Amino acid sequence: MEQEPTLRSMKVPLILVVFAAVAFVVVPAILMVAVPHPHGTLYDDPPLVEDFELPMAEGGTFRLSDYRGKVVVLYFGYTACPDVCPSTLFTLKRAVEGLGEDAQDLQVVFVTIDWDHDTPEKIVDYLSYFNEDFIGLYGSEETIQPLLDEFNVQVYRSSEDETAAGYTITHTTSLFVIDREGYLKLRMHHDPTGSVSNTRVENMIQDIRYVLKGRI
Amino acid sequence: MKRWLVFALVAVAVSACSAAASGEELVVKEPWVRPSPMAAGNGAGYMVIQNKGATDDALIGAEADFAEAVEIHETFTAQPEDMAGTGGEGGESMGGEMMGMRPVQSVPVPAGGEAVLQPGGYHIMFIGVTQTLEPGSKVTLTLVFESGKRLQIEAEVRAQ
Repeated sequence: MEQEPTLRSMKVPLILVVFAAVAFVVVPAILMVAVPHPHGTLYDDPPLVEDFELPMAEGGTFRLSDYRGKVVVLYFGYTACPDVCPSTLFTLKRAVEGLGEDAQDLQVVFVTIDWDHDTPEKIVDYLSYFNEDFIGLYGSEETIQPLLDEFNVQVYRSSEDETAAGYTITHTTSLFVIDREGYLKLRMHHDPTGSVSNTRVENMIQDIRYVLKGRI
Repeated sequence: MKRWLVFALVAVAVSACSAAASGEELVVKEPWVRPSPMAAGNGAGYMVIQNKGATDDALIGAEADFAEAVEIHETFTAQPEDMAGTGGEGGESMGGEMMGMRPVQSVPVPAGGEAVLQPGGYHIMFIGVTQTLEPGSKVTLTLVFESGKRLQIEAEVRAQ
């Protein structure tokens, strides 16, 4: 009979300890894992990307709405770009490899910003070096410029006498991630400085996975 | 006998001096170039050039027989205002970071320091690559310095 009050008095602190543990350890831990922390930039009010069509370098027509159900990563570049584009696409190639089976629901799309020079053959050759499943789109200023406007991709050609290459193109290097319903969710950044590190690949994998799983 | 000895010592000393003066002051580490399909028609080369000498130098050019022209280029991050007058607006806030490339006349290789040529920075730009650069193969290029030194190096062809 004498022990009863002792037991009761023990119960209160025990509940407090459990409560404190849940409040300060378990909940934050769950939040850390459950709340996405993308490395890229989220769009506050994700816009529905207007449907578009462009010819594919391998033949046929690409229509964005045909890819509902898949996550689409869009990259705007040019094949004669020796530094930033290959570095970005190489990281993306490794990210796709790292995604494993999840990559089945992912489509990487390269859109040329050098419509005067990038022929379908050049684009196919170029992309096959990275991943044969990457789709390349080509066209003309009239057909591609509206897409650049939609994603606010800036493209500037250098003057012709600057380099023996004839020209270089300064351009927006972000990777645009469109979710399964066609909403533009995320803009991934790729720092091309130095070699492609595992960390950069992992960050890209994580961001793409968030969109694949519908978590952002 | 004595004369021979003096002659031999002088010869050794002279050759040692000339080796120090011309040979090992500029050291090139881990040179590599991208395989050619990675940049259709063009290519890029990277390396670290160390200057172990006491005089500042600079890389002012390069030569390669597998390209129509060779230049030194630099990748830079551009702000929309840098592009004023070319018709763009709002790049940084909406579409994200912009990057570009421009030719440079020289890359400093300070005495006791180094020049880093790496993706996203300085690189040797091969324009109009005339042969397939297969991963795993090697290519020869010549680096030209402000001091008049020329350095022939072998670079590995690899993706990254």
